[in-house]
Amino acid sequence: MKLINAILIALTFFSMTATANLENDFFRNPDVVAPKLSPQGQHLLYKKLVDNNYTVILAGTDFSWDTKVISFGLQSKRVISDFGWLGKTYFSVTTFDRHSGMQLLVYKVDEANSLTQVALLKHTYLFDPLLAVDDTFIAQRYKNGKAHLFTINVTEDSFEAQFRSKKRISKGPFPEGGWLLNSFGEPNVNFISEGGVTEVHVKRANSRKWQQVWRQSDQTKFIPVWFDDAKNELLVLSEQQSGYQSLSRYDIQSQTFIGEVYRLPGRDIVGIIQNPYDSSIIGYTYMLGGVLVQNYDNKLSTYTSASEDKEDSYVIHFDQDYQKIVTINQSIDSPSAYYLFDTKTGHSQLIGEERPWLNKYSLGKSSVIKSISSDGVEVESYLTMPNNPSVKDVPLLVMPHGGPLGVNDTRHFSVDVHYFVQKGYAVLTPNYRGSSGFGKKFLNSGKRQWGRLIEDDIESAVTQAIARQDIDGQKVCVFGISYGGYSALISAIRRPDLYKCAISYAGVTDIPLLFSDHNISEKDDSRRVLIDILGDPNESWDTLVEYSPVYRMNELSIPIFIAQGGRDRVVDSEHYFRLKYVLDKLGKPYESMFFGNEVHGFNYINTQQALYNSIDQFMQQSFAQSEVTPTL
Amino acid sequence: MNQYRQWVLGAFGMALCGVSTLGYCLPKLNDDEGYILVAMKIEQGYVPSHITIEGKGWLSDLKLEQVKPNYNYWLEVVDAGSYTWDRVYLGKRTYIDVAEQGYVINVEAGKINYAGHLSMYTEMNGSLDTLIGGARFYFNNKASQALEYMEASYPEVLTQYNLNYTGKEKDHFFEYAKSIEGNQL
Repeated sequence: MKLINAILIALTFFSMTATANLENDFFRNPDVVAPKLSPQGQHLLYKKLVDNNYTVILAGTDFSWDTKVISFGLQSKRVISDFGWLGKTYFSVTTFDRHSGMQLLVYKVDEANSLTQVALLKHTYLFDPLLAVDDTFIAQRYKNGKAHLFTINVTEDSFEAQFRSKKRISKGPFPEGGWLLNSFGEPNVNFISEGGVTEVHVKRANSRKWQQVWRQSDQTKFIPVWFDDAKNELLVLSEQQSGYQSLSRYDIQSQTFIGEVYRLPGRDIVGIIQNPYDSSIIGYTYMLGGVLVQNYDNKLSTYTSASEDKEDSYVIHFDQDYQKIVTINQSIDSPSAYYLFDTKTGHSQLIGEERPWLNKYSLGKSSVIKSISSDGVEVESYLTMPNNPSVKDVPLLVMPHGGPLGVNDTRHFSVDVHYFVQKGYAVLTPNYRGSSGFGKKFLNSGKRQWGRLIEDDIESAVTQAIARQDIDGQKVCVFGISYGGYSALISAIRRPDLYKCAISYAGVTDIPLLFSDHNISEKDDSRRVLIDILGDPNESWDTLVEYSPVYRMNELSIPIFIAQGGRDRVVDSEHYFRLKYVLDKLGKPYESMFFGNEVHGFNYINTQQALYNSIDQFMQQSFAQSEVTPTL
Repeated sequence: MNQYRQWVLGAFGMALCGVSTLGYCLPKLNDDEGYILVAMKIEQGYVPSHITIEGKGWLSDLKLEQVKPNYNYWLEVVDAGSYTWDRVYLGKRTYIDVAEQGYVINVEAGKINYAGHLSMYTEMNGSLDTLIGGARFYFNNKASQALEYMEASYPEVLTQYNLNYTGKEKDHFFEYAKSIEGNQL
């Protein structure tokens, strides 16, 4: 008997250890982050975990030597927020802590590869390394709570003298707004985008005056990318011409669009790639089937590929001659590995892996699901299945993303998705209407559809997924964060026949309460934007109340789990407390977790580990309960 | 006999007032008076010595003391009108002026008026004697917590007077809570 007890205790211990390891492995900081090449391709900079310290490493590209630049422990209040090259021999590391703010450290590497710190600049961060001009960079410094730009030459004796107020270069109509610089580091575009209003001013090289070239208050996207002074045209990312985001040419004189540089039929261009050494535009990025695709105009196109069935390679950095290239290699559904590729020799060398500790797991595989919603709109979703072809009756977890507007899910490795897949769930991530990447019409069609067509879209994807033989349509739960949390709660009300449980973290429970926030104001148009997204409380009060989960809890018939961070400034904890109050008064059972120091999302890895482990247990209990009592 | 009964009830009330926090000391409202429910949350850091709220009428300013970490509530009888968060005192003479922020509590006669919680967030240095990076304030509608406070601390007041949200925008919560509770809020 004692032996049996000992075996049982040992089994329990090992089972708990295995579970704890899963959370520890999936929710932890990456090992290696974003290596960057020096302009002449001799050195690499990257961030790596060394003995539980985040460390910036300087290494030779022949891998014969490396040295630690700066280190902070995982518990340190100061963190490394960025690092990069300022020229052939200088580089910077930006650090941050909440008490003393940003600090920019500037280092020099000499010919013998020895390292000297040449400056520590408080309240400063790197705005633009200005690699076209050697030994000069653009710094942004906070003075009296306001950010200003300064041109800094690293060879001058005094760094501080270059931060005198009269030397600031950010002199334009919106000193606190966005800036674009020409190749010489001179500001020539100044813009602001607040409350749905975008205003853009440009300054010609031969002029001292700023000229307003764009002002729109209808939320038309107009993102300046580059000002071509010679042609007097601004390159902007906009949906204005085709309904899909393209890189467009905008004539300053006539203030009209005059053509497109890059456009794709039926798809948004999501990013523009510029050569950091001369600011020229060399390519663009877009999403295809949930996978990012890089399209280079130049020889870099040889080294990038993205497809669904083989290892993908993305160029993330290169030297000025394209001799050496840093790539991220990843197959879809697996974490990244960074390689240094020598184009002369064709030799590729591993720099490091982002999460090498996950190599021991057999990670899931994702596929694209296209479903037709209630009004005929096509919805693209991604289904990630456990990597075991013989598995049957897999429970399904539906994870609608937050937003709901202008955000999208991809098929690139996500710890959330793969944690649950590893736990034995199939995970469905729908790009419902309102998601970005599918054009202006699709994005705008998500407005004022909380609890309505958005959830129709999600349900169409669920219906499609559970039609598969390997998914158990009787074991479906929905979990989301922020809007996703709202969606989970309203879905519990809408479709108790479809979902067996719902989990909401930082979810909106009371739509009109969003207007009570003192940051929402008439002055900066944020109230108008909220009205555009949700509806006007003065005109649609009953509708806003009707689609607020907190006022529908009397209809609740499936188990729910609610969780919240106490310092959430986006979805105030009042949403959570209201729901708890109402559930208690109605005598409805529920599970809850409250993290007093947590924000909108996760600041602390421990929170995520605890929450996700509890969600898994809650789902298991809910499935077991539904088998005993089909309806509550 | 009646006089004797009234005296006994009065004495009983005074005794309750001395030992209870359940609101037995709060006077009834006159026609032009309402309750103001002031709520403050010290999220982190410095705990103020007292706060002041400015009323529009003569002698209508409020000085609210005994601030403690986490949640603080004060329920006062005041003249109907507009009251504005004015100063948060860190000491006798040191204060943070919040008057410009427009955190207003409108008081309607015959009701318990609530407009939001003022949350204060500060960070201190290692010796806990210096404020770092100033103070951050958030004035947000936390009506469910105000209601729970009233239910726990002033149930009698709550049975006699309606809780009334007078903060930014409309709010449905008190009305809904009343409908599911069946109580007069």
